[in-house]
Amino acid sequence: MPDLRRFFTRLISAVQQQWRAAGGRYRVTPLQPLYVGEDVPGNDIFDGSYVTYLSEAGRQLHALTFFSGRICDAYGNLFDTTDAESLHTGFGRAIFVMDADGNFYASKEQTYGMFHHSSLVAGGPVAAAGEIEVIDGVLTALSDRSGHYMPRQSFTDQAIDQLKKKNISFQGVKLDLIGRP
Amino acid sequence: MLDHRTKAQLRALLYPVQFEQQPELGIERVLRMVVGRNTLQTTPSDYLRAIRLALESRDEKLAEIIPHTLSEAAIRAYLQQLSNRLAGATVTAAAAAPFAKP
Repeated sequence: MPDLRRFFTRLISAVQQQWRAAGGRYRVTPLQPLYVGEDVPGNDIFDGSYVTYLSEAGRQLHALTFFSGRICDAYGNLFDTTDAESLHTGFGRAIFVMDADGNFYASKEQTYGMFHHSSLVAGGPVAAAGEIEVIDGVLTALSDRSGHYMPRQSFTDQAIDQLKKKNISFQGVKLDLIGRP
Repeated sequence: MLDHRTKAQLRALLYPVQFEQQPELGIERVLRMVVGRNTLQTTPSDYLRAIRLALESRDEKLAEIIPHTLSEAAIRAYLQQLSNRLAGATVTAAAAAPFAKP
C-alpha cells in the first residue's frame, strides 16, 4: 500500500512539473481559518489590533527581483536581511511569500497583529510562505515558518523549484524546515 | 473558560514559539517583539494576568489556542517561565520608575 501511494505521489509530482514547464501556475494553499477577518478593525483574533493588507501597488514595493543569481529588492538593490527580524526566528530573517505565478514578495519587518505573511498577499492564498536569510543578495537560509499559512513541504518545494529557475544557488543554503507532510 | 481577550493575549505570547521544540528559548524574542512593542495595547501586567488565568484554568486546553506540535504540559511550562520573566521585568520597571528621566 505505501508503494502504491509513493507511485501516485511521484506520478502527480511529475505531471505538475510538466504542467509548470508548459507555463502552468503553482498550486496554492489558503490562509489558516483562524486568521480570516484579521484585517477588520475590532476583530477578536488580534484584540486591540488588526493586520494591514497591502494593495497591489504596495505589494510591488515588496517584490523580490533576480539578477545574475542574486536576490534584489523591488528597486534592483541587492537584498540583505541583516537588519531584518521575524517573529518566528528573530534577527536576520525576512518573511516571504510566493504567489501562484512564482512571484516573490518579502518584508524585513513582521509585527504581531499588524504585519504578517498575509499582509503581502492581502489575505489571499500562497504557493509558498516562510522566512529567508539573504546576505548581499546571496541566499543563505530558507524556512517554512509561517503561522498564517503553515505550508506543507510540497509548497516549500515549489519555492525552491522557482528559486532554482531564477538561478539562485542552494549550495550551502540552510534549509530550516518543519517539513509538514 | 477564558474570554476572547485573554485568549488573544495568550495567542500573542504563543505565536512566536509555535514552531519551537524548546519554546523557552524564544522568551527573549517574545518579550522584545510582542510585549515590548505593545501592538495589542496590552501592558506587561495584562499579559501576566492572562498567563495566571491560563495556568489556573486546569480544564482549558491551551494547546488549542494556536496550532502547535507541543504538548499541553510543554506550553504550560513555557508560560510559567515567561510569567517569571515578566514578573521580574515588571518589578524592575516599577522600581526604576521614580528615577526615570521625564
